[in-house]
Amino acid sequence: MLECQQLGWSTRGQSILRAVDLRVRQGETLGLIGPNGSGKSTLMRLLAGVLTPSAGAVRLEGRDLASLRRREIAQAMALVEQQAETADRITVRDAVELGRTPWLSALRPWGAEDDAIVRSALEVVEMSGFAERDWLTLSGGERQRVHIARALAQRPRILLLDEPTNHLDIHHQLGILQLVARLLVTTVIALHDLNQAMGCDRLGVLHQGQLVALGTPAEILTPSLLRDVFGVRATFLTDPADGSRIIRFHPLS
Amino acid sequence: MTTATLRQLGRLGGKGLLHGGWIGAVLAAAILAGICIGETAIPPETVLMTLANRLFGAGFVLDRIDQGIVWNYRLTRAIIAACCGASLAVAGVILQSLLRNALAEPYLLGISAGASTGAVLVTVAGLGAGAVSMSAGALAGALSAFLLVALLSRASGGGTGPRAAGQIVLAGIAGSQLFNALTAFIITRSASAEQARGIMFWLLGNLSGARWDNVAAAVPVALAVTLVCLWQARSLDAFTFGVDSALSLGVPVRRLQALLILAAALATAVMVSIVGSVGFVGLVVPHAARFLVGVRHSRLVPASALMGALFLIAADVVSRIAVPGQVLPIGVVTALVGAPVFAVILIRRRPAR
Repeated sequence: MLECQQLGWSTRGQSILRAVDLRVRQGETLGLIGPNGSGKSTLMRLLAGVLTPSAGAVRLEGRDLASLRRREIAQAMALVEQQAETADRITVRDAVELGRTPWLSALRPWGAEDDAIVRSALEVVEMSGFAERDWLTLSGGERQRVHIARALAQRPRILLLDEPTNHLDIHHQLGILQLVARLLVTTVIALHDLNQAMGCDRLGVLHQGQLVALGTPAEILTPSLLRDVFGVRATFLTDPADGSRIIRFHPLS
Repeated sequence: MTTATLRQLGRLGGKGLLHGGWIGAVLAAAILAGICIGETAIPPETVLMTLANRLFGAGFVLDRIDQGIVWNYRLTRAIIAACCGASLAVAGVILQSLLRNALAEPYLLGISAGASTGAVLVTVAGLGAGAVSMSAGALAGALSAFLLVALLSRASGGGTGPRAAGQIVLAGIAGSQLFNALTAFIITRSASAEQARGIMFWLLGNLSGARWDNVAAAVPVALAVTLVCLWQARSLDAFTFGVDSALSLGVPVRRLQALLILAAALATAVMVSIVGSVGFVGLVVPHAARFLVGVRHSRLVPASALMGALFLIAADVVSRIAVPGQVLPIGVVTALVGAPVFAVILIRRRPAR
């Protein structure tokens, strides 16, 4: 679906991302983890086509992103950024309607179909009752839900989420993750919390700008990798409630 | 294309005609008022009869001097004021939207100052030896000023974040000062005392030079910049959450920026070369329009254009009747309204946290 080969990005002579090979499979949820500054956001933005690679290429359904028109990319992929803010006085509906932008033009004006798509996107994120609310009155968690609804209104085949739970309280973090897990669309999600990353189908680990591991959470989240990449000692516990594995972290020494 | 789409387009066209109709009527009424009110008030009948004579050869018997004032002086003046107001307001909308900055405006960003420098270079210093028009000089000046200010604000760590709001205005001040100094330098060096006085008056914004050939330049430019901006309304909406968000919504950001900033610079340059630099229209009008019709550009752009036109026609009337026996520069009137509005926006924009 979405893949990159030897992908690299550098700015001001400094290499931020090097030689990343990645192939996102149809229908999966692929998590990207890594310490701060490991290049997660950069990789997300490269995959979304917001940044232009300095080396290698991103291919969407077999075609180089650089050869596609912006509109075509946006019809296939939607990006939810960490925190996209506005000071404009817009309503929730206005924000979600922005998601229809890649499908509209002077010859294809807004129609009933678009209204229906916006309505169903709001339903999916359980914000239907908030449609007329002013953006500025929303909480952080609500804003992130609206961003996801906006991305869904793009009707993408691939959804890219860059740390969508950042800066949210735990209740809203879980809400967003549950919501993402329910979606039936191929998803690439950058995550900070490693226990939350356990819920992904596969995980990619970024370390100092390189993809150092890729596989299922059970294969990836090993004590040695957590020590080498994140600099922590990890012990694994089992939640008596449902038998799932939990990681507990300790300082190395 | 399906019939449903065609029907939708038809409805859209019908709506466009309907709105175009009442906007045209309001504008016509404002222009009529602008013609009637003045140091010597002219009754509306006289104005309408003059227009009928001129446009349809109606042959009403009227005072020749009145006719002359209406046709060659006040009508051109009102039309130019309307075009100038609309263009500057739309330029303000463009800059505020693309730069994600509530304080962006052609005058504050130094674009008007750059246009003045370019215009003066052509008219006074004789650059291009007559081959270059004043508007072309003004356009070159406007674009170089924008480039300078954009580079300066980027170099000072501006970008498009919230902190950039202050940076770009500071860069605009630096740009304005530089270009105003250049203008003064060129005038002092090359202009005669008589010329210099005329130019100084023009620089503050002055509509008394408005003639029919200016109308022929101003009307197409005002219409073009408004329509181009309206055509890109959806793309401008997509900037709500910033440039990256616009990119991921499929907007070809670079191309759009180039197109619209060129349009804004062109509009500013043409208006500056006719009227001089009139400040704050691009700031006051879009904010007032947002207050009335919201932030969606499909409504904001036409509303701003209309309100800008009305605002400048009114400002022109005020400039003619405020001080008996004197005509105030129109830039003085707009600044007297605009500077307090600027202050209010500045206060309201302070970070909430």
